[in-house]
Amino acid sequence: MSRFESRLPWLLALALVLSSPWVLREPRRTLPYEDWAAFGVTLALRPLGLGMEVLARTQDAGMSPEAGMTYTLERAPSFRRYVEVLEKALLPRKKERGERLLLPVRGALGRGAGGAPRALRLVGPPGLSKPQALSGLPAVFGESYVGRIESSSRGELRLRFPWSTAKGRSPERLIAQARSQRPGDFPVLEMIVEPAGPKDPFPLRVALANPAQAQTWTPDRYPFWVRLASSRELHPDLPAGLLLGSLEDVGYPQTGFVLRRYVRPLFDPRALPVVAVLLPQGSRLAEGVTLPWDQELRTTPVEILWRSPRRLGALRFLLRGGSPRGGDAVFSGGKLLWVYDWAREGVGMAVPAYARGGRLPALAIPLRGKPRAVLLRGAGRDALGHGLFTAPSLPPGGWKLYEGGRFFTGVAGRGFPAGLLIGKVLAVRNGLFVLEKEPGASRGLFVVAGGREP
Amino acid sequence: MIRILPFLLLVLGAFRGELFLLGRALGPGPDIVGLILCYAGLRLRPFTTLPVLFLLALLRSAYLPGGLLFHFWVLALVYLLLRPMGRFFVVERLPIQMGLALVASMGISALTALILWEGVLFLPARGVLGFAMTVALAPGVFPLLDFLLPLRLREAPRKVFAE
Repeated sequence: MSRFESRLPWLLALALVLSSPWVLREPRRTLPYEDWAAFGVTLALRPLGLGMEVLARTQDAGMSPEAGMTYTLERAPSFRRYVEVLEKALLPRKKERGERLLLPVRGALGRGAGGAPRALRLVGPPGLSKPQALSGLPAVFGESYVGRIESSSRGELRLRFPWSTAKGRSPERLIAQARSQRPGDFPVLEMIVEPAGPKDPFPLRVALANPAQAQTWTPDRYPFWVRLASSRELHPDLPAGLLLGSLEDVGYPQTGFVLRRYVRPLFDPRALPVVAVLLPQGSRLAEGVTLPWDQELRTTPVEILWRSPRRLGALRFLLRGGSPRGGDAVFSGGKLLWVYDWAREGVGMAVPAYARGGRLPALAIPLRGKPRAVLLRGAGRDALGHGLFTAPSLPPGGWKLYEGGRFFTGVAGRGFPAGLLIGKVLAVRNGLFVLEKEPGASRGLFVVAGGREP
Repeated sequence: MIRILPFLLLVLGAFRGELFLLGRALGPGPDIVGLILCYAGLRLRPFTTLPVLFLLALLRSAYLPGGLLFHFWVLALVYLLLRPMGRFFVVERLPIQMGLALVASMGISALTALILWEGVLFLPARGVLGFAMTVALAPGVFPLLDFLLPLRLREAPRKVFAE
């Protein structure tokens, strides 16, 4: 044995010690080209299984063989509920004078702090004659102000968030008011809000506030919600009352001294499936434009090659068919079944949406109230087999509102369509959302994977 | 090793290799990965062990939760724990081999369960029967691998002096 070889175990031990923080913190992180290695293992261990023909029972899955592998979510009963809620939340109210134009989100652009996108790419609806005319108009989701539309040099529509500043433009400043959501006689804060810096903990910060030192963090008065006030000088096109987020103060709670005030948006930019553009009064831009619900999905049938035993904590399914990528959705009948962990050359390992470490852009729809775009995190399943999720961006006080409500998928790229039912919330226990059981999937069951048509 | 690899892969593929190697992915089957790791820790040269660890980690990362680096880290840690045992114990004795195989198998399961925190279901998922089969197979696996692998891949056997 050479001298180097005799020292190899010591070098290995040193490498383990050095890599342990990375491994222990993110054990599910994969290396580049690891999907190719996993595919090679599958090829070596299941050469016979990979040669099988994928048999699809297209009629059962609601697909139309005449039109090729296309699927319209409108056939799913759960999708009708999703559309109803969104139309109620996004279409104009009776009192509102201007019209609204709904634009679906196609994908995200760039990555800011914490993995959040810098802007969203939008789909111009069929029938829209002048997309450039939408540039600069404000957009909302539910009661939240989500940013302004801009048109790229190639004519592509984008949504720029209130906290991201376009090159060559000054940051948008907003006049707002913050009120406590608790019953009581608490002060109303008037403030100017602007984009925060890259090192700030929240994307928006308060530039000026009156009163400057009113405390907002005791449990009897927290949370304070920040809503836009009308301003002819700064934003004449924005109606008062739109929600900016919740007020988050940094300071000394013992002495009541506030160092800095921030605004935390109450929507997750990764999960917005559609935005409503506020059109100016008398605008004819929305004429002849169809609502964006009837989009077709390009899908491919997949076959279950292998499934892990139920006794294993995390269920895993080896699927074959189509050309999926890691992160694509597997769904059947309008319900999200699984998400691809890795996929290569038509073979991939899919895990349930609730698998630990998974992040799912979603639309949380309570029984009463407005839908909210959130990022769900998988937390495994309980002893009875119910999927568990956490939603860090939902304020703790409002968790109970979602009991009996539903989670739908938001947008996460081409292979992950919005509007799939994730599940009905059975209960909320200490911040864990308990979802109804997924339908059983046996060998040979037909499922479809794929994404929205670009 | 290189010469028998294609034959080994063909056999594994034809007989659904993951059923053997992962015991139906931590089902009631024996922990073959644990047995190979135990053998590697006690008999194989470090140069031979590294590719074996990498291949086993690759297999586990394709079928089980966790990335390739994580599985390599777990297997390498258990290997480093087992390696000194060869100096403290007389590994030619069957009860020692059985005990160390159990340590290897439970070590992999426990580390995976604790770090991934999948409801600590990895240990019960293997089951008492799975661990018992692992222990029972250990005395057979050592001579079999000794027979299959050439001498140059193994460490030189220690001289055991009679009293």
